[in-house]
Amino acid sequence: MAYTSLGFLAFLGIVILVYYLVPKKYQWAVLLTASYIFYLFSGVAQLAFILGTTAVTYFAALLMQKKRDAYKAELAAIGPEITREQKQELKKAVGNKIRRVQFASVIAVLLVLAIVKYLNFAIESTNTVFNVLNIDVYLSPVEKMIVPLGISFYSFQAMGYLIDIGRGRYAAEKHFGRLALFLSFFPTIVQGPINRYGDLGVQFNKEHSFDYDNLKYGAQLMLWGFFKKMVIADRAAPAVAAIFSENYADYNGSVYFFGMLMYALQIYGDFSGGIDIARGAAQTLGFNLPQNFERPYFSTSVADYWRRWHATLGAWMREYVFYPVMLSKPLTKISKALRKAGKAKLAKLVPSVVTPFVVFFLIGIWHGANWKYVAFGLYNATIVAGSVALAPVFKKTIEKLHINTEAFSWKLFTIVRTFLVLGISKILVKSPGLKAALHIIKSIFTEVDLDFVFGLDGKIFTFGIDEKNMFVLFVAVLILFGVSVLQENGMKMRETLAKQNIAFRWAVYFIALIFVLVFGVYGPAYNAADFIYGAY
Amino acid sequence: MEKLLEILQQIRSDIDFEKETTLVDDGVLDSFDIVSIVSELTMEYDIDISIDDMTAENFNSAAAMHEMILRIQDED
Amino acid sequence: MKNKKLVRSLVFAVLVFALILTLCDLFEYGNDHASQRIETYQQLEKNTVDAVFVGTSGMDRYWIGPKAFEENGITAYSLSTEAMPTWLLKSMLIEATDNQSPKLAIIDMRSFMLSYDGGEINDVRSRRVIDVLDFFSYSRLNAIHRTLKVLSKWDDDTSRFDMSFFFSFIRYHSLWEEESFSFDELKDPESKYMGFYVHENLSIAPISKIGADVTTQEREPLDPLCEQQLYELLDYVAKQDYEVLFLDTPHCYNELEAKRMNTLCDILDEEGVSYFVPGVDRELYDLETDFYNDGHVNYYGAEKFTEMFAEYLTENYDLPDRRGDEDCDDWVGVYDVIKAQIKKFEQAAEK
Repeated sequence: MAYTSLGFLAFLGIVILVYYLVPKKYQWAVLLTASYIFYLFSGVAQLAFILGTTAVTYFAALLMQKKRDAYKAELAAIGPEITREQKQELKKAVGNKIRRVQFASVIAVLLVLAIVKYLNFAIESTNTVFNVLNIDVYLSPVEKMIVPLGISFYSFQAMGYLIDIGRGRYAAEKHFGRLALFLSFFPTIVQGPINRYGDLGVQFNKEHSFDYDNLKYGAQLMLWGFFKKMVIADRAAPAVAAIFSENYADYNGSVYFFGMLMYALQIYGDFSGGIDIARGAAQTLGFNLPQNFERPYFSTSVADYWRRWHATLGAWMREYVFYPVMLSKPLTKISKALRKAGKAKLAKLVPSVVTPFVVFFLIGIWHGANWKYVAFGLYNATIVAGSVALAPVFKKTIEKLHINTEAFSWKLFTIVRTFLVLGISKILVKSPGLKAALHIIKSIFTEVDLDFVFGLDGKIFTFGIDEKNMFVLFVAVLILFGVSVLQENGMKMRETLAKQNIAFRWAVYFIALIFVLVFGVYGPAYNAADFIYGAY
Repeated sequence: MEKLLEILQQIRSDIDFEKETTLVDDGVLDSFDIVSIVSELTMEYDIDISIDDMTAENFNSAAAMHEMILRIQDED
Repeated sequence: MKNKKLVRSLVFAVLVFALILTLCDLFEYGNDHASQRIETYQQLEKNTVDAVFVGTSGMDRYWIGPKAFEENGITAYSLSTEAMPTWLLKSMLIEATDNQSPKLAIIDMRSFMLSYDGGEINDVRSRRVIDVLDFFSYSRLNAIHRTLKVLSKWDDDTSRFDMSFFFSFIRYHSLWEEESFSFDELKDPESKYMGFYVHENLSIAPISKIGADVTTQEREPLDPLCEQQLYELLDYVAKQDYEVLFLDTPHCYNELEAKRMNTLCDILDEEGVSYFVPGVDRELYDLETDFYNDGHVNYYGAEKFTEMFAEYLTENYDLPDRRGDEDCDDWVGVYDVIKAQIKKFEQAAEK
């Protein structure tokens, strides 16, 4: 069930009604039932996967908790006369036990994810290698692999939870239903945000009274999400599909550049719009989900971008990959050795350069099982690691050229630069293949078709976005841009709107509603000719 | 504490570490800064900062970091 | 405070719903004549219409209701939509009896001649009916229900979208994207012709090519869907208070249609239902001036048909003379308006 469907709105309406009407101690049950019904819309077989992961997560966490409790009890039993050595020994022992459970359970969750999402990719890659090495072996890929709805999202949440419990961040959830709800909560299951147990899970233990503001703000956020998704993303989509298609060779660099801009609009509108709908829906039920997008196209560097774009994935990676790799024994050993050899700068640099490659490789394949995503990851890693490594050089250059980095013009320059650098990484992903991507990137820099850029030959309107559509898209993007600038300057749109007079407020709501209803892309495709020439 | 502030100042000279109390929560420090801090502290104080110590609370202010260092030294 | 918020939310919800209804009403497509026809019918004085036509364009292009009223005193109104599918004849009959109690229902035989293969074309034909009925009316719900039931046969057709039958706006909201779109299109035409179809090009256009006018004694089975719908309809009308007459207005058949028409007549004979198939009478009609295509008469042909059929009705049915009835003022003078309109078209064409 798509979040932009009428069906989902009806579903949400019913859930809200039931949720606030039942006694508060059963609210979790309403949400769990709703989440599983929502999940069932995608298929029955899929249910086994999420249930399996939930069970593993639940029991492994409890086991870790039990071991930690036992350790604490032992400490208490010995009392204050415990020696330092004794304490350390006990701690080490329990640490090892917990780590074993943690490791096994995380691997179990990861394995399911890996098999479902990456097995065929691995098989095909192996076949390619065999082929290159002239080994006459062919592994056949698994046909009809079931990919359960949102498996990346719930698996990541489960792994995060298991690692956090292992680290002793919080106590394991004793209530199976609430843990199942944390992993399946219907607003977040399709496209995130990726929640941490400490943020979302604990909210399921609280009772939620009906709150008018939550309902209102939630609905507003959803409407904003519909606007981004249906008016902007879906209206830009035809051009993206047409330009980054198998026929890409027919076009020139300026067309590709146009395509890249449209893709930037499409993917941001689609993803962040979907997240707004998810966060809005959760808010109507009284839940706060983390921000996932903070105006990423205003980023001043690639590292900055990855803090603003899909922020919960970035946070997950930082917490569970970046820090652990940084602090891992091999890396710290290398650092220490380098430092002893008197190469302090290098000692600092090595982890900062190595880690981004690990993180972005994972972010790359997280987006899809395909070599182009690997290329996408490596490209981003190179830039992030490169900018860390070259930071002193940049600093010196800027000083030498007497550039005022506080000036607006400099900020604008960094924003445009970052947008273009990331545009290239978007092309890597969107092109039909790596070879096509390289051709497209090269063309953008070498072929400029001014007639096309200024719309003089009208060709710009031939990629599925005609003049009228372009005008609507332009107005919509202006609105998005205006709102983004206000938000970037710290204005909270919904709170600010709430302070206005009712006439103004309602005018805004209705205009927004009409805009989405009339200019949104939804409903059955329809062909006016059918109506005109429908015979008789 | 003096020594700590000096180390921090070297890493990010633009931040007033004596006053800030939400270094991580408000995104003042990014993950690379934190890693630089960790590697400096590891060297200067000869301590092992483990992954379990990598929480926002431990890095939100200079005082919190100081406390963490003392605790780890004590445990060793 | 709490009550204030509640009231405010309710008002807001009502306004949103009103907005959606307005949009549904505003954004309808290519249905001006039919929706105007239905709207006018709903506004007529209660129980003043004695006969209704339901069916395809084969009704509204032929029957000049106001003429028959002026000359014969009959109030017979055409509730037709283009290519009305068989499964919606019943829904339209429900609509016809909502505010009126006609003595006679005239059912178009052409609906049973149409070809019904393909979900897309049936989708369009059904929407033409559903879209013109009142949003809250039972006839509309009935029409949606029946349509969804039939269309489920073509379930693979991805363009089908159930909710859009209830809220037509879902389907037509992208109307503004059409190249030919202008805001004038969103307004319904104001003049009312009591069910008769008046069109600036078609009403006075002569036929360009005379089609084959097949007559045959052979039979061809009806489309199975049509046959099933026919029996269902006959069951339904048998229980109603009004009399029923199946009518096929004069036009050229192709071979298949001619054979199916024979079958249809056989079935009606068997069931004891009366029907009237006048055929293209060469004495009456001039093929070169009275038709605008194989399937339809133009205004001149309609004049001739109306005269003939009004006579048939007065001879065979007991329909009161409504002239002078105050409740029927709506009918008065409309025939002159039509004639004046046609004159205008003729003058414009001469220039």
